[in-house]
Amino acid sequence: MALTDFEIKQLTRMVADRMGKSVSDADLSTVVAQVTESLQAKPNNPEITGATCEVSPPRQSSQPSHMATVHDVQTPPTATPTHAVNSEQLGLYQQIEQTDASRVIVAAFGQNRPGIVAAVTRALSETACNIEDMSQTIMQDVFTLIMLVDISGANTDFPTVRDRLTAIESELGMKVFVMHEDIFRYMHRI
Amino acid sequence: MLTYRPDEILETIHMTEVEHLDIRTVTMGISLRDCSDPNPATLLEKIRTKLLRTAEHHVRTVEDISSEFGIPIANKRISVTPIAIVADGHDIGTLIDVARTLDNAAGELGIDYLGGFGALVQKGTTRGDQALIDAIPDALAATQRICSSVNVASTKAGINMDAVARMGEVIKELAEKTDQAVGCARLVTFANCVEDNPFIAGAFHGVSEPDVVINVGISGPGVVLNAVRAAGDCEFGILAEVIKRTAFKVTRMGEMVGRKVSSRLGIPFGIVDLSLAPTPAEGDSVAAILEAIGVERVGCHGTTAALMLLNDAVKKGGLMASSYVGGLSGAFIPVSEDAGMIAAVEAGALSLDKLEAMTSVCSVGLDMVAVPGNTPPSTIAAILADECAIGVANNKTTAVRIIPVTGKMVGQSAEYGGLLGTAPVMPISRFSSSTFIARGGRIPAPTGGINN
Repeated sequence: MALTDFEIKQLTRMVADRMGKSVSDADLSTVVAQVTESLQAKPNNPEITGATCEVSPPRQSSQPSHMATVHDVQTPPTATPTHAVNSEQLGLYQQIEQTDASRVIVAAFGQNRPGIVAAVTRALSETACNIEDMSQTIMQDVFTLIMLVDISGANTDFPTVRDRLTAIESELGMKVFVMHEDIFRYMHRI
Repeated sequence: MLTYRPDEILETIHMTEVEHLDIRTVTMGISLRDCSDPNPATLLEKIRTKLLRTAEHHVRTVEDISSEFGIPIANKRISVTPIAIVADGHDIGTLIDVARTLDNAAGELGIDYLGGFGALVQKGTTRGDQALIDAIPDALAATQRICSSVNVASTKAGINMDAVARMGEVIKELAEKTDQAVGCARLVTFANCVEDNPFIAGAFHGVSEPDVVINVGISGPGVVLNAVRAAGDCEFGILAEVIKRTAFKVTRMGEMVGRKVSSRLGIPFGIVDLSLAPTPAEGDSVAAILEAIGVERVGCHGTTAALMLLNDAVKKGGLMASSYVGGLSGAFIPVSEDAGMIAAVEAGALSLDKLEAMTSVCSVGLDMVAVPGNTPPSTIAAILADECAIGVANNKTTAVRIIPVTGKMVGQSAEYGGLLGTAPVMPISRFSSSTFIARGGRIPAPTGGINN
């Protein structure tokens, strides 16, 4: 059965969400083609939103190259989860399996003094990180600065961003913590 | 408005920075069933090749995730198919060579402990199982990283008392072959063992598991301890609620790490084991939680009830936090690895008998318990039998990791250092169990096991 343009668009969006931001266009189109083919092969195809489809992302290309050999073990490539997922599950798995969270929480604690926000934002600006949200407050006499930062456009890797931020600690006499947003999402949101 | 409240962010940071919340272990389970071979040299080569290829990126990937997410991950470990199955038909010499091969491969992979040099003999012992059990003392003495577990009982099969009697002797032999009997810390005797336990020394990769799998063991006694202390003098219902909430949050962290590692390695995610695993570090103690619940010292009256509440609340909180909960999931009560337990033994508050009662409501059993070096094998076997009985009758996992410290008596301690801690030698009954153990045979399964 042929899929409509709308259905293919919907499908592409689902697959893109599932595979995360870092996926290349080529990989995305390969997977969409795969899924489309498997759906079209089914005689009684229900609507996409309820469809059961096999999604097997081309892991070797979407993962660091050193991982490829894992599949060379004398084992069938069943290691790749190719189980059937429907769209609802797809959303859930996308939420929990997204591998490259691009947002981090930056939290700084210490005695209130001038220049704290400036120092943190300078470090973020130098590494080309984008502040998405920010809050500052005094909690139990301690100045607390919390930021939600998008590091997807950063000009360096996460550990370097983190090191750059924690380097402010001695400069300002504060404690600075940088952790992936995923940790907070997992822990505090159901 | 930020997506997360400042107090939520502070709570998470406090858990990792102050309360020692960590992922205790990310354990890769590897099936070695396809490595069997009648030729010893080929068998060893197949095992080595499969381990090195499958786990090549395990340590690095886990370290990357630990660093990227800012979550401490204490251990990277491997569990394999019980070697009695993989190397069935081989003699003791070859089995010791298998242990050495596993040890070397683990060393090359940067793994500190590898579990699975074991056998499942709850119903009966094959010749291969017998050879493996006989090989345990020399195999563990000749290696550093290999852990062994033997399942001698189950609710469905009863208790294999011949195997229990033999394990009593094996534990003694192993004790004499290693310094301060430290090898016994790597040998577990199980009843109702689980196939997906990520925790050493009892970890092995069950025969019904997939080819490769990632299992995660979380910890966090410090986090639960602080939550219990912060709850103050509340009644038990509220206390259970506080522990549940904390266990939920801790388990979510394990779930996330398991998913990330599994996704990055392209290996299926197995389970999260939401155990409270203490370490000798300050504040990382299950005993301290029990004392915070209200018993003056672990071992005094009320301890078993407190432990039941803790174990149950941890399970309930964790169950919803992970899609797949497995392993042993609950509170571990090892003696030498928990500063509070050591103190309780030294203060005369905690006896082996009370510890045995506690194992009927904790997640596993008698763990890291030192007894006098001159304890007869039949007494050790009888301790194993008692523990098996608790597990079999209550349809739960129980285990014994007992250390008859050569040359040491009650009042002395064995210092192991590191995660193994300090083991005070505990008194045992001065009466003999040898006639009981000498009967042999199998104790039939209880009615609870006949539930089809």
